[in-house]
Amino acid sequence: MRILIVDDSRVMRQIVIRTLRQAGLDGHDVVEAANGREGLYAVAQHAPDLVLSDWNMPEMTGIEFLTALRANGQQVPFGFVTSEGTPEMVSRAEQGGALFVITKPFTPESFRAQLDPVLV
Amino acid sequence: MTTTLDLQLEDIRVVTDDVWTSFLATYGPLEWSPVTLEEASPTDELVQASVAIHGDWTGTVTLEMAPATAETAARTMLHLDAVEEVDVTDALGELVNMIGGNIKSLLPSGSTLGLPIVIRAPLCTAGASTIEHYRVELTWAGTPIRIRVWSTAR
Repeated sequence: MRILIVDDSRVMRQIVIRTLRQAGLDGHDVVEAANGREGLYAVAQHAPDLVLSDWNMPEMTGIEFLTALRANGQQVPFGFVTSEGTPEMVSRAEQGGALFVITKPFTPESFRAQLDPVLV
Repeated sequence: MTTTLDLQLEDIRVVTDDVWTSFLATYGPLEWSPVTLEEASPTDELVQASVAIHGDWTGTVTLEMAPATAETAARTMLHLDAVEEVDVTDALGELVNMIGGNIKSLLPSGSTLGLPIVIRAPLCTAGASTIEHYRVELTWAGTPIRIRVWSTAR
């Protein structure tokens, strides 16, 4: 399985990769992108099985990225990893087609809870 | 209309503690500091990370620490023995982004979060258009850290 991690922070992308490993969800190919625009390119190039995206990014935000994917008919499973987990943003994410929202800061347990059903 | 900011210092402490517990626990927990950042670590320069919140309440959340503390934070987050300046900037930006994002969650709905800005500068004081509302002085790894919440006059 291939996972695309989209976050403008390299530090956070590394933490997400490490948390996947700590959650026992290692062994997957990981591809990285620094914003939604790079994410669109990475989806087209690498055909990931899952996208984990930040929300608040320069160039193209996570919700714009998700909207563009769905507008192009791309149905790749998509989840947000963001510091903004308000009910209104969770609702926007779900309406846009996201499967889940993991709020930063997170734990390996929160990753497992959201990703186990997706990575079966 | 401007909404009055209704936070408790403990709210800011809990939000910050959650971030530290998740990503920076290697060097121990955050503790309340009995002294200010200036008293604990006199320095000509601080690393100051900030993120703006826009909405019914508009203001800024800042995270300040000495450069050596910021480097320790970046090394801890990346699990590396040595980091470059770009990593320190990235790490501090992500820390204030998480603190600001979670403080935003305590405010009325409809607010938006800006992108973090990280600078090295002398002590940050309130300007003509800003009011310091909350100040939390903490220590981590034996070094001082400060969170402040500022509102923007309008």
